[in-house]
Amino acid sequence: MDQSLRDFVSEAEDILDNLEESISLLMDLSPDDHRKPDIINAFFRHAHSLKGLSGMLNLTNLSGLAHHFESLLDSIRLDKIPLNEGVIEVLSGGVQLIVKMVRSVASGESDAAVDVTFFIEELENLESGGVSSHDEDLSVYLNVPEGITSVLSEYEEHRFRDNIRKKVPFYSVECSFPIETFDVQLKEITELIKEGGELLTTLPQTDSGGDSSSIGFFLYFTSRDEESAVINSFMDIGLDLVTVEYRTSPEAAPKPEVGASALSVSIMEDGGSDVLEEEVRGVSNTVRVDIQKLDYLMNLVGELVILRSGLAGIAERTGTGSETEISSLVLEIEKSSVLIERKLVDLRDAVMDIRMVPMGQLFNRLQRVSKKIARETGKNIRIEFHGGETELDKMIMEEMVSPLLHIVRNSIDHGIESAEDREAKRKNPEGLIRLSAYQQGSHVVLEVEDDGRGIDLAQVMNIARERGLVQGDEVLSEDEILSFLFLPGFSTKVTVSEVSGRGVGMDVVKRELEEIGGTVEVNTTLDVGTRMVLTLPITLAILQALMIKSSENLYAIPMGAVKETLQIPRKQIKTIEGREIITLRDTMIPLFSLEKIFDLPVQDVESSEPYIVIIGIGTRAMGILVDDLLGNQDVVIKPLGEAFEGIEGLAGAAELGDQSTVLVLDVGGLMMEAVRLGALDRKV
Amino acid sequence: MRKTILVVEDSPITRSLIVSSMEDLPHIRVVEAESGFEALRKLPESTPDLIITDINMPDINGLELVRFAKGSENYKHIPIIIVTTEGRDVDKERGLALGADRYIIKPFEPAVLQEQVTQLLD
Repeated sequence: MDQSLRDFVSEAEDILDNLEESISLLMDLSPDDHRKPDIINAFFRHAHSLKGLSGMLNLTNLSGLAHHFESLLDSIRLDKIPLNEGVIEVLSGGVQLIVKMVRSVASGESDAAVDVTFFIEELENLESGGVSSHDEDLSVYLNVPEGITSVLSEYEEHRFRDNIRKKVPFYSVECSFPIETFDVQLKEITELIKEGGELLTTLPQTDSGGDSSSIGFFLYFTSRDEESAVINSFMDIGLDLVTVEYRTSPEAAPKPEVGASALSVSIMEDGGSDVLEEEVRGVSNTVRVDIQKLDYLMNLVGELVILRSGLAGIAERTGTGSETEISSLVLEIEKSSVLIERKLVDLRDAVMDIRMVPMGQLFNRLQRVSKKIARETGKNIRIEFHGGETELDKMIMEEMVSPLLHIVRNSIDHGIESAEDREAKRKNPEGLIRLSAYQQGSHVVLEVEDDGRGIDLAQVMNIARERGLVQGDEVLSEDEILSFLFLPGFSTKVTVSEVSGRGVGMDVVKRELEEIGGTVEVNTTLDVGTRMVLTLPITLAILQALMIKSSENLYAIPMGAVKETLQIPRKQIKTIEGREIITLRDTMIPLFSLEKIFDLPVQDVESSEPYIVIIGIGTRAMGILVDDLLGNQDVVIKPLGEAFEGIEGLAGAAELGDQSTVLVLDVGGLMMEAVRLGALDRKV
Repeated sequence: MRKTILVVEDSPITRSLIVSSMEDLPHIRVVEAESGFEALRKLPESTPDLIITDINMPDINGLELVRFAKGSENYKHIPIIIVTTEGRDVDKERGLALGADRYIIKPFEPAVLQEQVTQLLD
């Protein structure tokens, strides 16, 4: 892909995020919400940007589609077409088509690969059914200084007219700021305005004195608050408001409602989850970066270069120096080393920061798709999102699309009961699915909660017995029973999934999480609901690891999974039912050795006070017996290659400062292996 | 003598296309603004010889920028080209009425824009 196309995809992806956010906002909006004009206007501008963008690259199909889309939005914001559910549906379909087109461009195909004729016909039908706006000069109604109406864009003029028609009170305020900081100060005022009303125009005032060190503005806005309250709130920040007089226009003729029935657009092929997954997935692997972040990186690199040249200078002087000089040079080297280390930490953090994107981006995309699934199933479901500001590595976020969608779909399909069933259970007939994201140490936790029927443990147990997974009268803990759900093929039968309240393919979800070093846990209560908890590393790229030695082999354990390290007398290690354990603060922690897990020969060093590294993910913990602890180090994980594929418990290899390599342990995989070997209770 | 052009456009890619077609002209320095506000801030410091501005922008629109510049003793001599989108004739007419000197319609040919700029700067 050439550079301009790459730039295009990256910018288009941003616009798509914005378009999707707009759709989500519109779907949730009550008809008389005062934010509506702002949302539609922003929506319009995003479509407009996309049109300009694709036009510049001669993507005529895409820009044509964006043009139609833009003009529909234009008609909506000018109130030529009323915004109803049918129209939102068309808009939502249009966003999907745009996503598809951008995707096809991103994969090197033509934007003509997506057929949009049907959609464009729908749009044209809609628009031709619209009504035209009135043409009297705005100044007939509005008592404002001459020249103001002529500077309004068509849209701004419409907003004036619309508010006049609705008899909303107008205000104007004049303010002046230093040229360097006016945008910040003005923003404070516009935000104050938007709390209770709508900003209609921001008119920069020409200063007749020719003084260019400050700039004045005339703001026109509406407010639904009491006039005195509005005036007071501006007085508080030292500004005098003027209430603008206007004559109300003759009542506008009622508009013919454009039939929503004609709009049930079915442009989307009805999707299996693959199609839906495509919808939710990001378009490209690019991350847009604030230039300031790059400047900061560049500065760090600059500082490192300087530090390195300092070191070179020291090396030169070492060759010729006397003994006393050399010992002072050693100190200098140590000092430089500390400085370089500090800068490298900064550099690492800065690079990681660049990879981070807020979960909200994924939530926006998920929201639309989940609503669509809910509609298809005919269930009445409210979907809530919390913690959209939580940041996650872009690549990990994209890996989360499929598992999250899977879980949400299961909740909608199998978790949430029909409205009748819910009423019979005295539950709110509207089902609830709540997605939350939050950070926990070096992990991000994603929770998908529903208030549906929950998982019937007895039923799961029955199936496990049928499959011979459990002996006839064996009693298992709840966690052990739930772990069956994650076994391949356990829950694939439709009948099973319906009874158990949990759908197909949870083993796939688990595998996808393990691939990125995450875990999945499930909590459930019959008839109350189910909660899936996904724990993911924040980033994959660089990690801090604890270096350990076991039977003369060196390993690195990601620090994020290390809970603590200790050294204890060997006699404190107890053996219960053939398992080695220690008791730590009243909790029993199972122990194992890496030799046992990897089936390696044990170099017998039997220290009387061995070291133990307590590792764990989420609430689970276990201890690894090691011969020595060698401190922390930053490592960059590299994949191991085919020869080692499929060995559980290894995340990859890392190169150390002395050019040797070390195996990096995968804590999630180790714990799974420990379960398999019977050193740890079965639980996922 | 080198001339300065202030390019006001919120879409990075359109802006970079305008900028690169301007930089192909001899003796041109380009100052970029990605919003109307940024343009207001950069006007006094950059003292441009020409302004190219988009109409639809998030903070103040291009028409307001035109009115501001054309009404100011300091800036009224600066020629302005507005960049409009096909079909938005009202915005185009208002821009010209407010004193904008030329308009071009997006998507545009770089040669057309260069031609307009050269004429206005002579």
